[in-house]
Amino acid sequence: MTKADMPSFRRLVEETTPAMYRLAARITGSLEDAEDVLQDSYMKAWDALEEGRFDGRAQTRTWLYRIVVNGAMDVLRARKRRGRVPDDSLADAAVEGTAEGRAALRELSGWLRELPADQRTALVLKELEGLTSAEIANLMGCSEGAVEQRLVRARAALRERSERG
Amino acid sequence: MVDREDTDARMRRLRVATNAIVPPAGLPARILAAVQHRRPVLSWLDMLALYARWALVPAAVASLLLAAASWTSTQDIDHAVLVSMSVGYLP
Repeated sequence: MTKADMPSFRRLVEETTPAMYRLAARITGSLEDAEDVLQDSYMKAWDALEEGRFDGRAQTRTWLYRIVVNGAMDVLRARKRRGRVPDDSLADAAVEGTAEGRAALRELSGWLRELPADQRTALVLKELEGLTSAEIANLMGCSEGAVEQRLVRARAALRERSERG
Repeated sequence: MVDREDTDARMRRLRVATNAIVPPAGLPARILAAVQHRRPVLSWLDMLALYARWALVPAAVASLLLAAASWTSTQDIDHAVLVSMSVGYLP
């Protein structure tokens, strides 16, 4: 898909929304922010298709994935600038799940909030989305070495957080 | 001291837990509606291009037609006045 064709775009949105929403929620830690990120990301994707800025060299899903990652990181940075405390809606997402599942989500929310945006994003992409360091480097526009460094720092912060209890 | 295995196990548990996250019903429809009904924001360059297309170009064409008509009958003073007016209209 390299042109703004509404039926194809509709299929793309319907097929990719679940995965992209989960990705945005994991990075931002907020379901409300995830919805905003998604709406903004699909708008940007449509604009790029209309203006012929997507050349089709990358797969459409990879390209969309990158837009969502960048959008989610922008939300984290804006949140830090404005000193806004995110809602804890990610922790409530598994209300229907087990007590263990709910506790795990609350834990994740708390940890995510304490990590800087670049470390948090790298960690989510590696540990929760299952991407390789090379794929993360490509998505975040940095070297593999920079990704590894962010992961080491994020894991160290998690260990420290666990020790604190 | 929490070792690496504990951290990895915890992350696996978190991955499984967040796999349960699903978008709200109707989110794709809301996104598509927003994309379809959005009004494009025009930049000043877009506005200038629109003005040129819908105002300046027809005025220029009209002026040229009037000028051509006046040259074919140079005796007609009215045509000469029209040519002056139309040239004055041009930017």
